[in-house]
Amino acid sequence: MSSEKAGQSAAGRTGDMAILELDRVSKSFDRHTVLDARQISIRPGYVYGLLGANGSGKSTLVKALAGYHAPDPGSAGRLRGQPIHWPLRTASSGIAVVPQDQALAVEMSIVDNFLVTRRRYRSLIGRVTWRDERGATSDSLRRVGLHRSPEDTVASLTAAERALVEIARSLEEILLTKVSSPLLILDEPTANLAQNDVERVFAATREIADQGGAVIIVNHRMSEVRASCDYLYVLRDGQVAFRGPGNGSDSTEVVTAMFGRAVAASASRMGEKQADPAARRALLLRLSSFAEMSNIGNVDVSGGEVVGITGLVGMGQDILPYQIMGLRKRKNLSVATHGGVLGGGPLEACAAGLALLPADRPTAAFWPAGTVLENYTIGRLSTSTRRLALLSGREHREATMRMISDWNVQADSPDAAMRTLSGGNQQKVQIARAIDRQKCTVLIAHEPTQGIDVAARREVLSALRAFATMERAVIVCGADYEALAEVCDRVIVLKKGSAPVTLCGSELSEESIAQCAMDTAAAVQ
Amino acid sequence: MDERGRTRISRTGLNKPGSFLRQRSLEDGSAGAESAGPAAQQPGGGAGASAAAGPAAVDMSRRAPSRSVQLTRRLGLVIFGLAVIALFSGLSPGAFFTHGTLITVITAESIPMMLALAVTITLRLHDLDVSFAAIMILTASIAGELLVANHVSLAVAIIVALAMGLLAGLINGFLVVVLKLSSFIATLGTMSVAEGLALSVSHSTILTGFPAAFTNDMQNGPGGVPLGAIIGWVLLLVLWLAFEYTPFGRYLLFIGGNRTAAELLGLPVRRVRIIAYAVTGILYAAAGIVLAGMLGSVDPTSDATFLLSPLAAAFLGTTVFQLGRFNAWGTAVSVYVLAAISTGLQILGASAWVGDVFEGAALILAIALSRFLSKSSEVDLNL
Repeated sequence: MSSEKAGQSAAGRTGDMAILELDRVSKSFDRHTVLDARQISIRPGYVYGLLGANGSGKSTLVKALAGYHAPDPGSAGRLRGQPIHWPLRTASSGIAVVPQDQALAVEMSIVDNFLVTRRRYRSLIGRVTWRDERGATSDSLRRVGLHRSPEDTVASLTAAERALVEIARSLEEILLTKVSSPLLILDEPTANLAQNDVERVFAATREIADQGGAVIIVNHRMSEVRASCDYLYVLRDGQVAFRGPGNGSDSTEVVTAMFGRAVAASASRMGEKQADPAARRALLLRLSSFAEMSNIGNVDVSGGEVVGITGLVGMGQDILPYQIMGLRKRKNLSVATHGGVLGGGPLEACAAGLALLPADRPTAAFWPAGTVLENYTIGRLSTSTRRLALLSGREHREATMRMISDWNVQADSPDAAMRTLSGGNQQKVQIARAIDRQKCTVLIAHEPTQGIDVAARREVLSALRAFATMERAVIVCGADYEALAEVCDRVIVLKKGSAPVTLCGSELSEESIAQCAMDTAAAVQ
Repeated sequence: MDERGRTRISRTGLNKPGSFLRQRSLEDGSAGAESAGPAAQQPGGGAGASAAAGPAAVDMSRRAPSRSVQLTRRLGLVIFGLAVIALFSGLSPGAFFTHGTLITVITAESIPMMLALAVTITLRLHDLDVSFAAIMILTASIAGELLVANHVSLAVAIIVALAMGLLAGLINGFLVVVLKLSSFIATLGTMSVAEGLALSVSHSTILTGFPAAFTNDMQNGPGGVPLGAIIGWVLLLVLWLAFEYTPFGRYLLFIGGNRTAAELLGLPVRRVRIIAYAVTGILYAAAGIVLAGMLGSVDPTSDATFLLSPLAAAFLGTTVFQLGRFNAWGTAVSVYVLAAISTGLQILGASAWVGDVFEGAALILAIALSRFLSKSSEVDLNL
């Protein structure tokens, strides 16, 4: 039932035995079936894409393959021709999952990070033989196309290179078990990467496939997956809703399979963009920098505007939101509002009408163990009630219920723990909370679309667009060029060692942003 | 990710009914439903949820345990405490379940009660303050020295002691909030400093000879309940209201739960933290005054005996009423549950060393329980 394409050419590469054939794999929690997928076939020499909205069962499937879950009885399949005995034993299965969060010790060298999982080259008394360790590490790095010295610290690597180190390490781990055809599962490997870095990671997966392995990429960004995967599996409600070759598949068909309905996924611009930005509108925020590197020059943000700030990874657009808020040292950045230049921390910035939507929601946006109500109303406590007055339970509850239905947030109740919500729903609560603060005039969104599915992405972007009315503005920092082109009036592309380029009007598109950002790199090299 | 939520629920669902482990899982779906907080008045329990929620959410509520099961989990420690009382009543009939024992326990636990409640404030910030016993003994020594050797009036002695407590709390706050030192290490330092100062103030002697009026007032009260215990109960009510019904109480938890998020949201993080340390300092001093009055003497080296049980009670308190959260009623109930066990052991004739072993074991067990009953690391402190 797998692709004709896989059937045809697999023999030509590494023999026609599939690494993994799942006739059926199902998993239920308390009689509720979250996964019931049939006929999945993974052959050596191919890169597979695994797509699905939040809650579609793709994480459960990955966890079953990682040996974390034991599937329900009735699940059956073959691993390299042998019937599978669940749960899979990771040590001998030849399957490795590269997790979404980078598990690297940043201050240590690459070889040190390899040593964590490798115990091989020891002399008789157990001393580490460094030359062998370094050699083996170099080999593993080359396997994914990364040409760095094993002595380099992880801190000196770019985000893409770090992802490659993790992939190389997992791959080596499998190869040490002497399995002929390794299966690597990458869980959202490109979530934090800019466009051209993404291509590097995909090139590495292609390399692995060409060497006789197979790769499954779990991903949200559909365009990426379609372009770089040989074959797609789309899960919905735990079942395989679509299967087909990557390039040959119609994108509408794939999206419909993911969500059970068509989503307006076109890259068309949103809402009423201003024809004449900054002309008659009130100036809300002025950023100016004096730094040599990633000089943002002068950026004036006026009411009604959505301004994007982007660049390649490391150009500073990832630190900028936190510098504007004063959580990190502003160094050469000057931030001015109506009240004058900001010199203090986030308390002052919030009082001046700024609000931030951090990209890393669990660590910077929410109290994850707190309830939706507590997280949503925390900003109201100082305004809606007098400081020593008792909290109004009913008022907060009603406001939270209203927010949940207005924003179509999928939550059990206002008392559900914040961390049980999916990324998209957390993002909606976060935006609703910022809007709820009356005095918020400039909303700074850092990677607002990161880790959320296509449908939620749509809602989040239109909410940002809608926030920018006459006297309010939005700054979007990040590397999702598609989203920037969609939602922004103008996009400022930061460049290394030269003045930034501003794209607006008709010259603003996903391609033009990518082109402009890449030109920067070319100029430097 | 809601899938992770599902796994968690199902895994806790495997635990035996009635065991402690059951309590844990309610925290996810319906924190606060039966507890006393503002989150309590959820109309119609889980019923309202399904109306507003999508398919995934409905699935989760279907798997959520019934209200009575949830109540059992939330009140597991209370049930356990009653079982302990029943057990010891059966094992030593006529000795354990008596009015005399009750008054003895209430009297003996006045100090641990006040300390445990005070330390709950900073624990809500996920800070660990270990200086409480030493500061209490220091302020008690100062009050005693003023009363006994310098013959100042009772009011002046109390005011000076409270002021010293406030000062000690502000120093802790300065070290932790302004200098950004680890709360555990910084207060370990202030603990040792306070211990030394207590010896110095008291000239390394046990202070005795407190005015009879003071000690009589403290040891007697309405219905034979000592005033010291009543002060602890009043503190319980005040902290409960402050924790559950004021912005300050909510800020404590939010800052403890995610300080970066609190800062980015523009909450007055520094002010709240320093106020928390200042208040706890005053409360330690209040406990010191109660201690002097209840015992009629102050041993400047006795702080170690008050160190473990308040911490154990505060941690055990996260396993009851509001799971995974340091809360006032949980702390108070835990103080008495731990006291019931140690008193029962004493009445059964356990040797003196059993007391110390029990205290240490109780602290470890309490922290382990609160850790394992939490779905994640939400009771982990910023050490």
